[in-house]
Amino acid sequence: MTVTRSKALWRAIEKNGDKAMAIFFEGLQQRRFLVTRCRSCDTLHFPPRAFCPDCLSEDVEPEEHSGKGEVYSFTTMAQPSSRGNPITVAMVNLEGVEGRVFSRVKLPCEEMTIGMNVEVDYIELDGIVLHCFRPRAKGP
Amino acid sequence: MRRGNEIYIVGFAQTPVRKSLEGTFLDLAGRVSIEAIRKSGIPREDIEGILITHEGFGNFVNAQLFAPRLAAHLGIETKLLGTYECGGMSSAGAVKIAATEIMTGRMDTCLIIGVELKPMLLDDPVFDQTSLADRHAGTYGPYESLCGVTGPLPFYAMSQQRWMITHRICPEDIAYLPVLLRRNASGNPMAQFRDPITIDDVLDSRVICPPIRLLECCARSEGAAAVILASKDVTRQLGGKRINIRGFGEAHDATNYFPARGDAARFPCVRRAAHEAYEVAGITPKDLDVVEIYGAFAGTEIMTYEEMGFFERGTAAQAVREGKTAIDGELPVNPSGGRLSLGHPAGATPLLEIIEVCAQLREEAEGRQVNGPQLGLIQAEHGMVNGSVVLIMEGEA
Repeated sequence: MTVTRSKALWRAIEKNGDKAMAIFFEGLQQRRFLVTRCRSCDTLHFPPRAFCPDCLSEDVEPEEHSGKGEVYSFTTMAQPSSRGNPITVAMVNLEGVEGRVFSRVKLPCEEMTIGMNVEVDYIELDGIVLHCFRPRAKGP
Repeated sequence: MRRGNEIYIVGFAQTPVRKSLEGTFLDLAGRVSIEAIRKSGIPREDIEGILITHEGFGNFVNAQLFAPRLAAHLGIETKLLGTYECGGMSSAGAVKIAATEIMTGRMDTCLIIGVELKPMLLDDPVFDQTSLADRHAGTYGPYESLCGVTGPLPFYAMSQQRWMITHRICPEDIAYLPVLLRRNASGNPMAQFRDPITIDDVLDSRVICPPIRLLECCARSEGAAAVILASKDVTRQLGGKRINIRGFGEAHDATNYFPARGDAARFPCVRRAAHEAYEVAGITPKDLDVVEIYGAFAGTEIMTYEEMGFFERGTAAQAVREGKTAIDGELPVNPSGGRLSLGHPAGATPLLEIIEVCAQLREEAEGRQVNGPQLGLIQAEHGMVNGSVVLIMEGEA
């Protein structure tokens, strides 16, 4: 039996992540973008954590985030699922959250700028829902 | 060093750096070990420790019990034996561990070996998608690998992007460095890339991950190197120009690849490791005569010069352009050709940096010799410069 790249990757990710990560990916499958809130120091973190990286409290809970943020930096990369065509990727700072999100962005690299407003979106690859970002108009 | 026994580098050997070399791990490790032992003048039975960096740059294939296999192959009984792994700085970390053991007086000699054979995972039918995916998720992080990351380049690109914007660095500023390194490599028969290139060649080369172009990237190369350290007592009985390790520093940030917070265009670990080494050696960067910097990508290499304190923040690119880091400049950097032109067999790279500085201090670097250097330094790193080791070396008559 051949294992597809996506299935193999999915397995590898489960194996190399942690418990909090499993919750994040379950959320993604329902198109919900989860971060964790530390109830002890009231800080939001991405990626979701099993303990607070700031105060080490284990009193943390998943919380859905608006997915709004701004681009910290960006580039492109080729990858197997894009059949060699480069995709735009970025590091995004989420509003009110400690920690950055690395993800693809639905915009050509030439149109990207540092500090631009983006919001989370979803794509489906081989039956797996993944997060990505799209440009967001300024304002509320 | 201020405390404990003095440490010297008494023997070294390397293979050329090439796209591919003849031989297996045992062949290459054996070859450089025997040559380094012979050059050191130390009888084989007096080697007291062996530390190695295993092949494949974190490739887990056959990684277990490498060191005992090599010790058996070489027929050396030891008081210290093992493999040290922390990404690209592994063999520099191994040198530091060996140096520390010698400082305490526990042992007098140690052989450190680094070997790099390209991992053939991508085109090797023996490896299925599962092990490949596992490797990527394990190395670059599960979140990142899910988005398709299979190498560190996108992270370097995003770091460099911010540095260029903050300090208004243009692509032409960066393009000078690969040209200079290639000129240095043209005098080094061990280097993988020796044909001259121009600034236009660099600027016209393919953009791999913007803003990084092909000729601003290191190559994944094959190579092996060995270095022998010895205490002052042992060194005194040997001939030749002695190389003293004057000091070292090591520092790691609490990050892996792209930092989750803070300025991703800064490498605090490099600054901390360098300052520790300068302080222990009682020197400032101005005292240095020759330097080898890890520099896996041109932009990052220039950023590292700034963190090392060689130049003010935002001014290193201009300094390179003015020839200040050339072989005849005020601080010659990477006379070997650096990672961009010497080539980058990661498992062996820090040892190759040490060997280049030793050759320079002994004035044996024919074709690229810096004029009469006394004090040299090497810097090595791992991840996207998330941790760093710095060693300072001095030639003694």
